[in-house]
Amino acid sequence: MGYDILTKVIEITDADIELLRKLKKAARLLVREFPFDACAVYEWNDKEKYFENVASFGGRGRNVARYENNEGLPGRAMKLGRTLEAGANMGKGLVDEGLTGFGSALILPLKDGKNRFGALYLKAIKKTRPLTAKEKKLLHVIALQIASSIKSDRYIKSLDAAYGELNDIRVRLVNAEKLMALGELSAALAHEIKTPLVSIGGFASRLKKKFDSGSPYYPYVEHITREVVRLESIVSDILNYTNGKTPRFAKKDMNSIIDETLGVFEEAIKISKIAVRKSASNKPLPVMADEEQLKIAFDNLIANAIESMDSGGTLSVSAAKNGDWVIVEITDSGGGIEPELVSGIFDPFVTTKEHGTGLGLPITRKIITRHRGSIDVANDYGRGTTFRVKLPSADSGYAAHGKKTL
Amino acid sequence: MKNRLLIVDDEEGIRLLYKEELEEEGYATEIASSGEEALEKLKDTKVDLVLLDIKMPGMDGVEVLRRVKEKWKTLPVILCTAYPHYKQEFGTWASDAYVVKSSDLKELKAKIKDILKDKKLS
Repeated sequence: MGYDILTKVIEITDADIELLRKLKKAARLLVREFPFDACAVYEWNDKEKYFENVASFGGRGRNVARYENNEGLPGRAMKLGRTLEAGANMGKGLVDEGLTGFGSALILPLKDGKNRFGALYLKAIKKTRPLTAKEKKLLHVIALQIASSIKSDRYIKSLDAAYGELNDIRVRLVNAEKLMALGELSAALAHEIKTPLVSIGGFASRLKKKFDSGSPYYPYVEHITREVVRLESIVSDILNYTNGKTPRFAKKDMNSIIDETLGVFEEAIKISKIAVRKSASNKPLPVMADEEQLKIAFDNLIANAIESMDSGGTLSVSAAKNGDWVIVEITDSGGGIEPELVSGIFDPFVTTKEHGTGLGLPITRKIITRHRGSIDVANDYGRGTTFRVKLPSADSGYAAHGKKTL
Repeated sequence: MKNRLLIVDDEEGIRLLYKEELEEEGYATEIASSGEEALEKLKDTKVDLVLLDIKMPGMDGVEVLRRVKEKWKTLPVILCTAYPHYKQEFGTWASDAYVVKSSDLKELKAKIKDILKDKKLS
């Protein structure tokens, strides 16, 4: 045996194969070339601090699947930072079931400076001859090579993950740019449309007054006025969405914002026979809010919930403080959103309703984001939807006007 | 005597609509199609209230408002615009009311009535 074994190890670790296959091949090579009957390779899980048996050769699988931090011989070898030689009776109270049935073992930590990568666990059934100095040196170099192989595998994996993330961000950016262009275009269009609409609708109303309701022309003008009202609401939605004015913040109690918003819908709730379940906090829930805007946001959420339950249901509204956050949840029993539509509900012009502009939720999210909060949806298709709004508590020091920044 | 309103808007349709609707409500109306024209008109015509569009070519409504309030401090001005967000703009605060344009003139009419009533009282 000589340096040709190093060549073989390098060939294995350089091969274009999965890490686990490399480790398995290396384990087999070690058993063949050194006086051992089995080799188990352990990989160190740095997040949860344990060794996991990821590859092995020989020994009929009699390996411990997992050693916790500092446990067993791999743990001790790693802790001491050097190769351990173990006989059947190790004494000193160290228990390692991995040694059961074997006469001796050699454990090499796989590390590089302070970074832990795992351990090589070589086992012999009978106590064998001591290794030569050259063999020990070779094993040391092999362990380094295997460690660096695990290390580069980790780098590649984290690079892959970073690349994937980057790609996601790129896609989102392109989408955001498209949406921004779309937003600008719609704002310009809305500008131009708004004024003529006011004239059309205004004059149609004047015409309507000239006809009595029995006239055959009455339904025509009525139709015009009704459609103008609809168009006007679309246009003002668009103008609201694209209006990028900075909000004016003041300390407000979330409970009262919710109460006032619910108050607006009293009539609609009654008509649709909706039961309202409110679990508000007894204590004030202060948030830094642009009240006018925040009411628009909750108005949209509650209006959506009510619209989804036109034949009755339950509207649950809860508000509570959770750490530095004020959390508001609005749940309806209106059957939920079709699963394929859920991912797009916060994008402009996506609507699940017959007469929606598709701007309600985008406006809501924009407002919440401006308040340094977030909104997400839990969709239970067939049952209902929960919108969860998270706003920084004005007590947390991380509210809109707080000095802390992210 | 009828209250006299000055309608300032660059859109002919809006001017006509406001004129007809407000005359029907019993007001007398004056018309200006630009900020400059409005200021000229105010020099020699006595009006009780100004309806002022914000977005106009040439001098915009915010500027007209500033000049009107400089010269005729107590003359009420209602800003009319397509965009709710001007409300937050500092320059518009000097107005007596702010109405988002709509084909439904109820809100506008109510505001005019309120302001003229207050004016009479004071």
